[in-house]
Amino acid sequence: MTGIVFDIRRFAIHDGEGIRTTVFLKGCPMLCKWCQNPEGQALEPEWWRFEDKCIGCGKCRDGIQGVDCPAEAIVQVGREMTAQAVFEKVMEDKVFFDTSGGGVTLSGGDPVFQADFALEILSLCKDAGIRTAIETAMHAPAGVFEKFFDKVDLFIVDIKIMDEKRHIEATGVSNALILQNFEALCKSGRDMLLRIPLVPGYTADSQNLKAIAKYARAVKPDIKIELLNFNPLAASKYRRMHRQYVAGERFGCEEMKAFHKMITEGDID
Amino acid sequence: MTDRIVKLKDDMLSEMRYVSIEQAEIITESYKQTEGQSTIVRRAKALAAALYGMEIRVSEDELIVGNRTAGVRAGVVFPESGISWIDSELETMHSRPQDKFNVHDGDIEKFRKDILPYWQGRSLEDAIRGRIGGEVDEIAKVVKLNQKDHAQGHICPNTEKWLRIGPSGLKAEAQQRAAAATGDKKDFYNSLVIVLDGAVGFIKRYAGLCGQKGMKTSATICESIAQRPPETFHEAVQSLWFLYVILQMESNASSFSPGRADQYLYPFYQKDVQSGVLNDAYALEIIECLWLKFNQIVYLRNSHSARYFAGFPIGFNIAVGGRNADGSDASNALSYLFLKAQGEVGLPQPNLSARLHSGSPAEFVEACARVIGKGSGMPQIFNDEAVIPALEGQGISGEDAANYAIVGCVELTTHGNNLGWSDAAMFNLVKALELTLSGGKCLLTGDRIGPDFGSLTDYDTYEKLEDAFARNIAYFTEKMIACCEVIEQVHIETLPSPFLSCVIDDCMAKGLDVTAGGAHYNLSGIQAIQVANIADSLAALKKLVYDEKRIDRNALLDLLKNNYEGGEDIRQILLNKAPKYGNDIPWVDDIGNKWVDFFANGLKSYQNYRGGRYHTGLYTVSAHVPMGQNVGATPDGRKAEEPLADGGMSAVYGRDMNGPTALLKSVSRINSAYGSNGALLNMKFLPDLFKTDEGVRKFAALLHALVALKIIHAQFNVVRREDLIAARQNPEQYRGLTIRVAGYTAYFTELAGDLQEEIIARTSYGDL
Repeated sequence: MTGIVFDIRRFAIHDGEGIRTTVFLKGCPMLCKWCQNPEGQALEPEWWRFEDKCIGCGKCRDGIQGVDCPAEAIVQVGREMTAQAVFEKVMEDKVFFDTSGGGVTLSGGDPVFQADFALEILSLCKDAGIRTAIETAMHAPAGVFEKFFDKVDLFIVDIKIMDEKRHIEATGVSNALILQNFEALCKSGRDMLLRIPLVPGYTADSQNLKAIAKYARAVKPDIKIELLNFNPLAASKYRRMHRQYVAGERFGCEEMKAFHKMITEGDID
Repeated sequence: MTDRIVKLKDDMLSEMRYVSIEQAEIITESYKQTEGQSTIVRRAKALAAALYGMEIRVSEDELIVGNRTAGVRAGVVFPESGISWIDSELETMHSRPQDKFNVHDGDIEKFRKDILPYWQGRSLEDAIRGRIGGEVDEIAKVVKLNQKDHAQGHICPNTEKWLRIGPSGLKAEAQQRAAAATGDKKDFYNSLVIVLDGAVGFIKRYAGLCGQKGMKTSATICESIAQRPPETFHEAVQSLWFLYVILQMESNASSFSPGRADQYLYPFYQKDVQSGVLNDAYALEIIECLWLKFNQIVYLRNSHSARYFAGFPIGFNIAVGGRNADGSDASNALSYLFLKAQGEVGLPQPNLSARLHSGSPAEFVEACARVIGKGSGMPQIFNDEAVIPALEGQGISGEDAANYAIVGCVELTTHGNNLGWSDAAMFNLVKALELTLSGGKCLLTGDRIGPDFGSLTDYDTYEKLEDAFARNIAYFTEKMIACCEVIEQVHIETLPSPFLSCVIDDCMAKGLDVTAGGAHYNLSGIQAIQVANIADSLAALKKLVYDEKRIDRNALLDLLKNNYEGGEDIRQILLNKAPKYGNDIPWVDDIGNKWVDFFANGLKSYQNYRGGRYHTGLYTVSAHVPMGQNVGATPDGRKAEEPLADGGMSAVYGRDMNGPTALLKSVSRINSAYGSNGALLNMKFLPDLFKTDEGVRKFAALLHALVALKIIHAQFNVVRREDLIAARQNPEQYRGLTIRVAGYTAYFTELAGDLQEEIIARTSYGDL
């Protein structure tokens, strides 16, 4: 079967154990204002223009879609690929997976959005002895999400906001399904890592962080929680897409320490 | 670092660099007195005169003493090998763009009055020019012939033997053999005795000077090792250093390498530690003193050569770790102390290399990774799993191959028994391809410089183009070999090297000087330049011109002649619509391998002047810049005179877009057998990677994979702020530079300016 992939990055070193290949599947059920991969939100391919590469040849006079730009100043974001083709691409780095304990990580978008495609890629990889991981916000029907349990060695999941109302405002969806899937995942005993993205004005406040930590620990006392510093680099993509990105800077060392304290002190109260 | 090391390092780096003509004056005087004697005896006497007569200096803080000049980092003028270039460059030495040297008042006059007139017409340089100057010039744009004005060097002497029996033991052996020898052999052995006497005298002079300065320990050590083999670790290190000083005084060559010093020094270390006279702190201080010494001898090159080998690399190459002949791991406590010294001292010398193999302990690989993360580019990594079979393929025994060392920058050798002549020539395959497309005319000047086997216009199939390329390579190979032979001959005639012959097996046994073939192994290395440009150019021709017929042959040839003027759209298609080497695309990488293979096989039909084999290397060091300046526009979209790919096996700057793992996969498709003379891969990483233990472990895993992929070499540069600033200015050269964040990856050059600023601000390795 086929699906839409918008990037495959090798030597991914922050997406699970070891050296990994991260496959970015297009499409996401949520619409977070700070999404660092905004090009992953819609399922359909889109076209980007890099002004600095343009040589003014005029081939895109009538619109950029579908143009075979000689200078690659116009690029197609998102291509249809077969699961087999993705698998073969992943296999190119098998030697590095072997020496590092790495493997494949599906990211996005959200891989649960193209669930059948994602599951087929994961099956092919697992059958070939490749360790698998997914990065997901878990917003999927329970029946769909549970299908991943047997195919994934490491779940990297995130909970962004605990308060439902705020969650809807910031991401466009309720977190009810997310929390339900989180609990099911915890119960399944699968290897997992909970990440909380720190977004100024949205997630990075004491009340929210403490609430998430407290909730997560109540469900799974030994859960590993990681804080992801804000990534302002994504602003480049928003500019290219003529969209507005949330304002903010990376948090400094001291602030990060304070945030870490918030999620660990959650243990006490 | 201890206060002593900090002070010694500061003192050394703050001292001005000068040209030194002192030894040249002594040599000239000696040669005037030895007219009529055999060259080897004259060379021996000239060296001995320098050992007895050169001014020497010590400093109270030194634990290791000795240098070939009183001043540090002097540019030594060496008349026997070449002097004409010095005459023409003396006035500009202080202001030349690369590797400047000051000149003392009056030295220019003294040089022109006392030294130059005697040597005109007698030096190696003049003799070579006299015999084959025209031939050398004729092929110069395709073949850069080396060793035309200096001794070859690039040798790993038998330091183990030097330490085992010392100069007195070597002298006894030479005397014994001299007694039974006649004719040339008698001269040879007598020369050995002369230089070994000189060596003993030299070491004793240091004993005397140290005594005068109140440096009791050094005085005693020097006195002892002048008379007997070293017994302690400190004595052994001091003795080792004298060996390399004297080798440089004899040859003034680019690179004599100690090789696997962690192996042959270990028994001294172990004995001293067991007996309680040495601890690791003291051993480290001694090692760091030696490390500083390696930076006190630099190599004076002519301005042209300085551009090819920038930073006066002298190549004191030390290789740590690796495996033993029985396959077991060889790393020991000294391997780690050497790595530690490198991490602390952080200077360009020694050129520290780490040998990895499939059984290297994780601890050792991670120790290497941590030092690499400090940003000195060292240790560079060599892979036993690739090197040992490559050397065996050149007729090296299994035992010698397992004990390989590195000389110069990345050249491979056995220990103590090889004249590898590793820098015989660099063969510019890219220029040969240009002549194939142009019908033998230089695209830069329009001059005919090669035969006309046809041009791009004539080749109606890709196979015809390949045939003509093959003929061009064969044509220039033959011309090159003819020149190499004469160059070697002149070295034999003018630069016999008796002191070096004492420490290269089998010279003593054969009674034959090392230049004349006395060594057990006699290889010659020719570098094939440059895999990436050949692969990219031919892949673009094959895909876009022949397979897809998207670009017309005549139009392309015109554009190459005009340096793509008026054809930017075509150039962009060539750049972007044909895949490039370095991205794990097998058919492109295989093109690179195919031509290295063709070139290497072509060399197999020749034998060098010493009866040994020619073999290939895949490295340029910094020569990719000047060699690129010789080459017109190429079909991969490269413009005229732009640099070639750096290193040797690296991708063209900015063209490896799929990250380090894809690059390594591509490199692994170039058969490592063709890097038996050495290979070079440069890779860049952001310092972030080394800031956490997890990052270091992932980098170490990359090294383990490199070993599994049988890649000969890699050197890792940690990207500095300056690099990122350069990337902002020249984005096309840094397109592959990647910023990695969880669930997110971006190319640095595609970030907006203010965001690039943020990365630049974050990038420093001072806080590692």
